Amino acid sequence: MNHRIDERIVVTGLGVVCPAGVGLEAFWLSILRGTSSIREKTFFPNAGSRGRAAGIAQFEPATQFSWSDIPKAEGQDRLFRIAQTAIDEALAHAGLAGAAGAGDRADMGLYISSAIGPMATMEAIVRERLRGDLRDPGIWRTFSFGRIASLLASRCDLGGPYAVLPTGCAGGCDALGYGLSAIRSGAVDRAVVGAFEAPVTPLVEAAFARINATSSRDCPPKGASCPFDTKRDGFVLGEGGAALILERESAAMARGARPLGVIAGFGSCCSAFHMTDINGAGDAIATSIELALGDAHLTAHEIDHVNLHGSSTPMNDVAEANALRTTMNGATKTMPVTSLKSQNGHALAAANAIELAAAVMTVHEQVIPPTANLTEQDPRVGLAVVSPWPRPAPVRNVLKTSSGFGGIHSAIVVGRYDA
Amino acid sequence: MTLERSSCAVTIAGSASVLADAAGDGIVRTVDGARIEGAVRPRLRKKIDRFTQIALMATDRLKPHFDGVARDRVGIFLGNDLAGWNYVHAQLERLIESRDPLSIDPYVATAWFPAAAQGEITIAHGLLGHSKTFSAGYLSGGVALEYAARRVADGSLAVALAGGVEAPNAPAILDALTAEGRIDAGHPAGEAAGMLTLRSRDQLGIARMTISSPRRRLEIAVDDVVDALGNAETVYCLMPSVAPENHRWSRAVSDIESVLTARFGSRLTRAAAPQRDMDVGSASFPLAAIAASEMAAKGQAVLVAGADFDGLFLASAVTPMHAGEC
Repeated sequence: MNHRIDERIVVTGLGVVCPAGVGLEAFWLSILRGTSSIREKTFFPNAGSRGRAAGIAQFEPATQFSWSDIPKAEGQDRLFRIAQTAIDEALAHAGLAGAAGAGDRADMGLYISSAIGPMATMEAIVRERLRGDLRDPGIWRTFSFGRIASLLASRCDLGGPYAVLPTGCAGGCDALGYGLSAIRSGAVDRAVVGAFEAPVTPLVEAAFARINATSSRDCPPKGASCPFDTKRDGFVLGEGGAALILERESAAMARGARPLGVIAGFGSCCSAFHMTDINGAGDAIATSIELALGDAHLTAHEIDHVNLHGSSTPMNDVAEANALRTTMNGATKTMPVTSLKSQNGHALAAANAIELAAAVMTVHEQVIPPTANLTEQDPRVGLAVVSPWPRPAPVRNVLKTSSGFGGIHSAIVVGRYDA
Repeated sequence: MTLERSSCAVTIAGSASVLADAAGDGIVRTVDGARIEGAVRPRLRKKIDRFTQIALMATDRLKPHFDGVARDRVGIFLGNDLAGWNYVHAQLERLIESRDPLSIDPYVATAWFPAAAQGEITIAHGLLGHSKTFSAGYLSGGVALEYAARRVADGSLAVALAGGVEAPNAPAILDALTAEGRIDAGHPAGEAAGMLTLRSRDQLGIARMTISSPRRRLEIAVDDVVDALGNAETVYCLMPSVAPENHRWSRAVSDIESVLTARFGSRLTRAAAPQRDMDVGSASFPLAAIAASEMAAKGQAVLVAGADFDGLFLASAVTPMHAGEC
């Protein structure tokens, strides 16, 4: 009991669904181009300008929210379609799909995140209930967050334990951190980790607009999210998800899998500061970075790139920059950093899962994807942002940061795999 | 493939529970408003859902257990499966009818999501340590306990406050639980929180807790912890309380009992669940662990068995501290 397995945990498969692309290859090529996939979208055309853009995946349009839809049957919400598509791709990428992978899937864990669950169906249930029209009793399990994982485990034929970590916009990193812990503890040899979100619905649009979290800038939708720029005034909602296959290195080698990268470390802490605001000094973000570096047994000098949360809110981007100044030992001015939020929007918990997939691709392909929409960097940020073109670079380790409502800050170190 | 045994041992240093008042009829029992008013200041109460209010009440009572401990060494781990629909249900109805985004209150974004309680508790107590929220259906609180125990055992934290909370009394949620067969007038939904203070196993406390990893088979979860029960003459067992008319879940509880009987034979004695025949959802496993710790403090060896009723299981051996430790 209380033992820890000390071997490398590797990533052997990726699956992605997001506005920049459906499927890993489409996603990676798209984000290297560095163009925004955000478009005009609002459920309140007669209201103000805040929240009038969104990143929407070009994927099964019939599953997008509509005011007139009846609630979808259990497990048919867009969230589940995104999740299952990404998980199936990741399993196939890792060589774990179909009958050939059945034995290896028999004890495979599923640790995922969603900040808000199948919200479109929940909203439709409340609406139909208000009208007194609700008939299908099978949809009620929609309200259980845990059901997201148990249903996906069943559908994807994963026979190991499962859990949902609904930890807001740090959820993707947290799900991966939990998977890392489960493998290190010996509970499982391999797991699917990731996060999925389909939050482009009226309640979510209204809730974020109500607290001025989303952009209201008068500009084309593609330019609304502009991390690190002087003009940034809030995030743009996005959707999608990514799944990563984690395995003990020995388990991956035993079945002849080819690792794409290493999950070297995880760190997480709380700011105890405010439910939505971030302390501008970035102390808690810095702590999460230090914890992740410590877990990875690495120093800041061994980090070659930071994939930032970069939400395009005035507070976040400055706080993250200050956190890097605290932790990167003077390398901040030259450390290449990026944010993918201006390409995809902010898909809440799923955002950092998508960005983790990009981090794995960065160490595998040795290319850093660019930040879109940076024209004039805020001097308070003052970072070496990769923009507007991708940058080929020797990258040993990527640091991925994330922050969520409730003062949750989590960081992951993704390393290059060297046999 | 043969799975390795995987468990984690810690000390239960304290606990706090908030249970719905027993009186009342219908399909839900709630915590009396006056109890909440006495514990959560009015300004905050307006901004947060009842599940967060109840979690704050329980956590407040644990404060003596972490006073004096560096706040970056204290974390909170909560199970919650049904989120804050008490707060949001009426707001959503208003939005649907008005189609005006300004018709909702500004706290929707921070009151509703399951991790809201975690955030409010860290802010209320200045907790800076690793903290997480879990959703795993009826087993959410158990999964939170297990992960918390690991963070204490690996030295990341000196103190973990861990448990589960549910306030399932919004109209759509009650419809959902009724349609599911989980609740009826004889076995209503109940607001509840169960929180435990965990410290490393070399620390003094009320009882020792050895908890399995979450498993897809109960037999494996029991294997994880069985050694901790030693040669106890009687193994008391706490299992989920489910509505008798909920045939699927009742069968699952019978299956759990069969597995435990096969393993422990005549040593097994079933103890009464602590939640007064209510469905307390995510709080179920932590409340059972609290009851088990009280029994262990009297010298009994207790096995807490939990399930999410979709195929996930957890087992925990709660045993007396060794002689001289209490």
